[in-house]
Amino acid sequence: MLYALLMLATLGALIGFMRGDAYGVPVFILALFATALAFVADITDALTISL
Amino acid sequence: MNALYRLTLLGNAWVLLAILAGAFIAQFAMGEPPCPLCVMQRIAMMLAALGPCYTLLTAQREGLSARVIAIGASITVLASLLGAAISIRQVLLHILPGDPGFGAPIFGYHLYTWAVIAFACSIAASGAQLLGLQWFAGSATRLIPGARLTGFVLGVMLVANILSVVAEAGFAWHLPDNPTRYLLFSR
Repeated sequence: MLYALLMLATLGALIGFMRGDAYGVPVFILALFATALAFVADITDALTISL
Repeated sequence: MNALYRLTLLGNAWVLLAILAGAFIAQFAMGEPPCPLCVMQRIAMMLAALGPCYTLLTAQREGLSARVIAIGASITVLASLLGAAISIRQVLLHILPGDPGFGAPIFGYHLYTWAVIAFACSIAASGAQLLGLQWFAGSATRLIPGARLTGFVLGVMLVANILSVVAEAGFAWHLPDNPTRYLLFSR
């Protein structure tokens, strides 16, 4: 669900760009930061796969 | 608008879309659900493809100004830096000798290795756009063939990936680290 929400935010930015709305770039920045946070949360979790 | 510049933007977006489509086809053809890092790389790639889409779509309305080129290139560079960090992380996870890697290799490399190359090329392409900013900016506004189609295909790719990740994670907040089946359809 987390990744689906991140992709929904990306879709929101794309719709903003297609419609020429001013919110496109802020939504992109939101999606980018949220993805970066999800990545940081992923790398700081203990690994559950065998290396 | 400079024809070569238009072609570069369309090429940049369509190469990223082709890689995403390839990963999506590999997911179903080889029966390999993507891991969390793979999904985050896809998200970063779709965010990077927003850059050329922004420039093409905005130039159609407002003309190709230096501001539009700079914002479009910045979107691609920022998203590609994040994507490169994620894919390098996955390369490093499987760098030990004897490690088979995650998923089947395609043309000799795993998808996350191809992703590092794609993100590096995207950053280089955006740098070239910024380098030629004074030559490209100021061209007359006109209909750009393929601009809306590129945005539409990116939208379809996003919706397909949203459905795929919901099928994979079910109603769980996170994906399993090493997914083997689609949780929405399994008991």
